Amino acid sequence: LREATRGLELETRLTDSASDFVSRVEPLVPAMTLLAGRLAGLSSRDDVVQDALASAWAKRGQFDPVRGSLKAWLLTITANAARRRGRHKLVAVPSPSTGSDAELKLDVIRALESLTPRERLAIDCHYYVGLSVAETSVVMRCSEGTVKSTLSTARERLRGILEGDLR
Amino acid sequence: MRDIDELLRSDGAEWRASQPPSGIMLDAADFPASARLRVGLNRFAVGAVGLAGAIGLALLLAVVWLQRPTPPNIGQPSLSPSPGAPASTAAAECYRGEYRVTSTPDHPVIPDDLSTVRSIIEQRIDTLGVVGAIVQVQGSDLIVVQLPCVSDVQGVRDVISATGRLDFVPIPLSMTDVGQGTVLGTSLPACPDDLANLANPCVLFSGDQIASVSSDVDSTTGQPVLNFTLKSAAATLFDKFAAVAFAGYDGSGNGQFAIVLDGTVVSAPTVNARRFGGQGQIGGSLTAAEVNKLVTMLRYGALPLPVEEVSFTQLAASATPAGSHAPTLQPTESMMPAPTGYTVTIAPGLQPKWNAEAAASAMLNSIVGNERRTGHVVAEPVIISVAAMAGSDVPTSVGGPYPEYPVCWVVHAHGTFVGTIGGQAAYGSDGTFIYDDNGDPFATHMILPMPSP
Repeated sequence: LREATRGLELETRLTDSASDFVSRVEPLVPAMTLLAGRLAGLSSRDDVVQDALASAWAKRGQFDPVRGSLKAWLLTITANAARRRGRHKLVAVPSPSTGSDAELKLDVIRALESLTPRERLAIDCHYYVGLSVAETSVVMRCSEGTVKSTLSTARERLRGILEGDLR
Repeated sequence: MRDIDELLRSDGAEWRASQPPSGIMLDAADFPASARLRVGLNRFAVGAVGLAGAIGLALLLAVVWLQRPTPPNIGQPSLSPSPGAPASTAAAECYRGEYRVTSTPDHPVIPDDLSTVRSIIEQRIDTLGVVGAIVQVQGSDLIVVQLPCVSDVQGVRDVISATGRLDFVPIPLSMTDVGQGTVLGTSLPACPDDLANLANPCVLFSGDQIASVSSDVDSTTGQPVLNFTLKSAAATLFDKFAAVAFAGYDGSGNGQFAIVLDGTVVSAPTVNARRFGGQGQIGGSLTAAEVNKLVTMLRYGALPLPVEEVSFTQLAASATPAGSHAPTLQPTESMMPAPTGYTVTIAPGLQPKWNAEAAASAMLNSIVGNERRTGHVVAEPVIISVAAMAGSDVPTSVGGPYPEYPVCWVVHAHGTFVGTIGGQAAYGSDGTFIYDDNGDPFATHMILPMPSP
């Protein structure tokens, strides 16, 4: 019953109750934070999340559980908020590791910057934020198949860049 | 070259692990469109917390936990008599109470105080749903209250004479036995600046800091709740206290505060949030009547001076014998100021489920109240005759018949028909159940054309 209820709980619409909103959104803030950090950088990450939360509250009536999970809906809003901030770059985090591993990381960062925005979003959502393909598809507003093909194209491009670098 | 998928996965996992946690704290008060924070035991929401396995959920559930859903000290007067109760009283004014407004050393009684007290008492009685009470100033320090017949007269008396001083009192963690009904007394000290580690209960602020209050129904649980908004000074104080008192979202170790009315705890919720922003909601285990009583107290505030009940008498009408199926109660002139009075006739073969006299009294009050509200006061007091009969017997001359109603009251004032009230609960003369509408005779049907002046 608990499992069943949990499912129901997640699949209901948002009400006008702030506490309901908070109690349901609270557990998803970490995911929003990861995406915002990925898309907007650490420095404006929390601002983006705040924007997204305000926006989600304002649009709470529009959340339709039939069309996707609350998590995916919030991440879509987060991605939009990050876009509105006008920044879409990855901030390189200095890595404590050294040697070829560190170089590879910088290479990956550079390679990611060469992706198209859609490819980049797909990679960020799926690999870095850790979303499933289904969740990514809601955030990107496309089908799961499109996500898979976008990811595939992006991987090919990255492979080309990285292998070229390593060559 | 590693597989690019594997590379991205590991790089992604490493990146996630390297991300500092967000400093964002969700607080329901940050979502102002709802203007609502929960203060109250919300079983549904608490259950959801457990289900989701996220203690953080309890979080902004904000708040407060009613400790004991025991009945309040002050009863709620009710106009709905108990089913099948025998006829007992039948006067438009069943009770007369005299209250003396007492001066305090630094506050002598002046006429303005009297009229303030009169007005607050009148509003309180009105809010309790008792319509038609008469509250008058008499002499230099007396307030005379005439009440219609209500089933819980003690509840009304309590509300009338309560000073209505309402204090918000932080409870030290060492006191674990504070709940509804606990007597803390009226001489609590004001709280010190440092609210941590309080040794004794103290007054954080009082009812004058309440900006607004309303009764409401929780949209999730359907439970009656009371919403209140604090003025800014109190909102700041309360958040200061909440920040100290709030220990964690699992509810353990959280501080408690009490809402204290005239020295007695009305409600002692636990602080379940760090910040309230001046908005609160009390509920979860209160009945609608209890919420109304609290709203009454909070809305009309404290009496400027204490009042003392000098006398409270039940008028002689209550001695009228009852029990027959067709009682005709004709109050004598000695029972009440002439020419007030009304007649109740129970139609043969029908006995309303509720107390006929109380129902008639309430009806009278509704009519008088309605006339007052609409400015159609015919005369005061109003002479009304009330006849109960089967709905199908109501003559066309007074709007009938009403076959859908097993019992109707046809109401006359000054000999003029003013309306019909249909009830849907009735018993046959042998006591057999005919029809029930859950016992509320007044929610059914009311036709009240305005009487001609």
